[in-house]
Amino acid sequence: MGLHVQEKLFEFNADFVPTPTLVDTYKQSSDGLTWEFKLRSGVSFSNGIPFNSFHARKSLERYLKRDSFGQLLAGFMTSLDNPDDSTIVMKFKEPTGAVLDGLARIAGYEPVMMPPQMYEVDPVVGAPTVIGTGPYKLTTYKQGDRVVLTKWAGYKPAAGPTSFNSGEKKAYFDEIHMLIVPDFGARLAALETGALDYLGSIPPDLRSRLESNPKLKVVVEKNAASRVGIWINHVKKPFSDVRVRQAVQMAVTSDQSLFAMMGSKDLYAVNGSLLVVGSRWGGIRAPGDELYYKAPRVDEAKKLVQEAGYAGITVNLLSPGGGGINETHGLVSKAILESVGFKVDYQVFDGATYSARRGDKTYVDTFLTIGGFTFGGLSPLLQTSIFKEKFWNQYQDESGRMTALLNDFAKADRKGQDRLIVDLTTQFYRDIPYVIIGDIYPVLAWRAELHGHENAQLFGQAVHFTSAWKEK
Amino acid sequence: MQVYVVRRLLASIPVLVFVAVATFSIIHIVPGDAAHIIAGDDATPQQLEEIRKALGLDRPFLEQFGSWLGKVFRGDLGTSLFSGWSIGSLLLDRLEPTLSLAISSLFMSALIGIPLGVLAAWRAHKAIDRLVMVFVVLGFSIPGFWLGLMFIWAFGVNLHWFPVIGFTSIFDSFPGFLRGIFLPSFNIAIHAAALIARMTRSSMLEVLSEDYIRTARAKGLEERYVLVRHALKAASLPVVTIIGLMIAGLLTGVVVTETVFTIPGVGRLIVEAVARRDLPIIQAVMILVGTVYVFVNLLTDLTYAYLDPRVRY
Repeated sequence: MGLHVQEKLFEFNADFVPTPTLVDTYKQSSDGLTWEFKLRSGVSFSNGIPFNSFHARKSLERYLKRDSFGQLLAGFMTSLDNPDDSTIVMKFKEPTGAVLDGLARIAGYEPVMMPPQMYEVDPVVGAPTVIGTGPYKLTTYKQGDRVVLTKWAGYKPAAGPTSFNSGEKKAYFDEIHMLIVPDFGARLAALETGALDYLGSIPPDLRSRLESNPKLKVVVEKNAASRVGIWINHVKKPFSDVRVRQAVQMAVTSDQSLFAMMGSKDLYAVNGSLLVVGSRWGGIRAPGDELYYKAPRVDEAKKLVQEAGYAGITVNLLSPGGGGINETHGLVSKAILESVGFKVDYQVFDGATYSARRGDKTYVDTFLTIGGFTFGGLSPLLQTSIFKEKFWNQYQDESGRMTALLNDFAKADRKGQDRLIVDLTTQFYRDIPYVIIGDIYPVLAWRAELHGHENAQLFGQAVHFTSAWKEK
Repeated sequence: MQVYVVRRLLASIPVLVFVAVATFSIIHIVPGDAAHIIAGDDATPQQLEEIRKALGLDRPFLEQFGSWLGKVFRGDLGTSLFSGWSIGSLLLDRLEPTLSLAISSLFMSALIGIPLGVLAAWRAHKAIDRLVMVFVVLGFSIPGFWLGLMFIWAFGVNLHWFPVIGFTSIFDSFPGFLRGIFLPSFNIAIHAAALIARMTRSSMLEVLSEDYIRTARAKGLEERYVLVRHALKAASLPVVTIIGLMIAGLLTGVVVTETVFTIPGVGRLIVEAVARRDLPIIQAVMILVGTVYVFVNLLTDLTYAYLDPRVRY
C-alpha cells in the first residue's frame, strides 16, 4: 500500500541506483562530510498540506530513530537541518557511502515522507493512517479485509521514466483494491474468475494448474529471490561453538534441499554469496565460500561436531508454520541438522508464539525465516543477522572484524563496496552468522490483460501498480 | 415471567466477568504478544521492548486488566493494538456480514432440515427415511472447508453463477448481496440442516407414537394437520434447543466458512486477533460471545413456555 501512497527523497531504479524522487538536486561537499538536498517545489501531501523541508526533516528524524538502517546512518550523522523551506542539510562525522542507499531504503521502516498527522505519532507505535505525496491516496482501510486506494489528482510526478520504484508514475487506475483472501483455494478461484487481477507467491505445486489457463500469465520471478537458511542462536551451546556452525554449513546439500523444497529446478538457485541472486552482489565468490560450494561433506561435519563434544544431543528447530514452503523448509533443515549427528526437536508455532520463542535466547537453538531484502537483498547493511547482537540469532562477532568491515562498507564508495563485499563474505564463512541453504524464486500470476507492473516486483517486496494498466 | 427474566440477566453478570478474567489470563499465559507482530522480523530486542512499553504491555497483569475493565464500564472497548482503530467500529464493520450469514443460513437450514425430519419420521424405515438419513450422515461428515471449495469450483469458477470471494452489503446492492451470501449460507446450512433433520426425526418418532396422535388420527383429521399442528409443535422443543445453540454459534462467527468465502465477519476478526495477540479485540469479542450465548439461552427458555403450555416460569 505504501508504495502507491508515499514517496521517499530517493527511490531505487531497476539497476539498484538511488534516484532523486522528491529531491530536485543534491551535492556532497569535497570533504564528503556534508550533503545538501534541494527538494522539488510544488509537491503536496494528498491531504492538501504542502511538502517542504520541515516535514522532510521530521520524517527523517522518525526514520533515523525507528529503523535499523536509519540507526546506522544516525551513528554517522552529527546534524540534520532545514535551513530554508526547500533545503535539507546533513552533516556527518566521517564520509559514508550509506547516505543515498539509506534514503532509498526498502523494507524495515522506510524513510517515506510524512505529514504531521503521521510523524507526530510515536514512531515506536506507528501512525494509524497512511498519507503521502504519491499518486494514490488511501480511501478505505478495513482491517483484515481490504484496502482501497483512489487516484489522487494533485500528484506531481518525478521526472524520468518509470524504473522499479523511481521515475514518473502514471496512475492509470482510478481505484486499486487490495483484498485479503485468507484461503489459498479461494485466491486461485478468484484469479481464475477475474475477481482478482494479480496474485503473488503461488505455492509451487499449484503452478501447473494456473499455467494451463490461457487467461493467466504465470511467471517465475527471477528478480525477486528470497534467502533460505537456518538461523542459529549464537549465545547458547552447542551453536555458540563456531566448529558446530561450520559443521552444519558443511553438511548442507543445497541442490537437493532446494529441490525438495520447491519441486522444480527453475524455482531456486544454488547461491552461497552474502546477497541473493539477481541483486547487486548476488552470486559473487569469495575465499572461504567452499564451505558452501564444496558441500556436502557430512563425514567431516560429523567429526567436527564430535570434536566439539555435542554429538547425539537434542537441539530444537523452531518454525513459523503456515504450511507450504515453510513446512518443507523445516523438514529439509531438520534433515541437515540430523545429518551431522544431532537429534532434532522440530517445533511448529503460530506467528506470535514463534516470535516469542525465537526471542528467548535461553531457549532457542535454531530457527527458520525466509526473507528477501532483510536477509540477502540489496546490501549487507540491510542484513541485521550479520550485525553484532542486532538480530534474533544474537551473532557475537567475537573478532570484531565483521563490524569493522560493515563500518568500512557503509563509508565506502561503490568501487570500495565491490571490494569489501568479498571480505565480508569471507568473514561470513569464518563465523557463520547463519547457515545458507540457497535462494528461491517466487511464482507470481496475473490476468493476461494486466500490464505495466512487471518491473515493480523485486526481492520479496510487494508489487506496486502505480504505472500498471489493464486491457479492456 | 418478568422476575425470571431479570433474575437470569443478573445471573449473567458473573458469567461475563468470568469470561473476561479467563480470556485475559489465557492470553497472558500463552507465549507471544502484539509487540512481536508489530515489530516485524527485522526488529531488534530493544525495539521490541520499546513497543511493549508504548502499548502498555509491560505493565503488571492486574493493572492491565483493571484499566481495561474500567474502560469497558465506561462503554469504551478500547482500540486495536495493531491498527489503533476503535474496537467498537471494527466490530460494527464485521457485524453485518456475520448477521447476514447467520440469518440466511439458519433460515435455509430450518427450511431444509425440519421438513426432511418430519418426512423421515412419517415414513420411518422406508426408502425416503433412508435417503434422508444418507443426507444426514453426509451433511455431518463432509468437512465444511472442502464442501465450500467444491461449491466455489462448481458454481463460481465453472458455472459463474455466484461470486467466489467477498461480501456485498445489502445497503449497496440487494441482488449482489443475495448472490454473494447464497453459497456460504448454503455451505453452513448443509451441516446445520443435517443436525436439525436428525433431531426432528427422532423427536417426531417419539411424539407420533403417543396416544393423542392416535386419537387425532381416529377422529379423522387430515394427516398433514396431525403432523404439523399436533406432532411437530410438541416435538419441536429439542429442535428449538438445537436452533438456539446454532444461532449463538453463527452470530459469533463461522470461521471456516468466512475464511473459505472471504467474508469479513466476526469469526475472522477473532482469528486474526488471536494470531496477532490483539488483546483488546479478543476481550471484546469474547464478551460479545458470552453475551450472545446468555441472551440466546434465555430466549430459548422463553420459547419453551410458548411451545409447551406446561412450562411456566
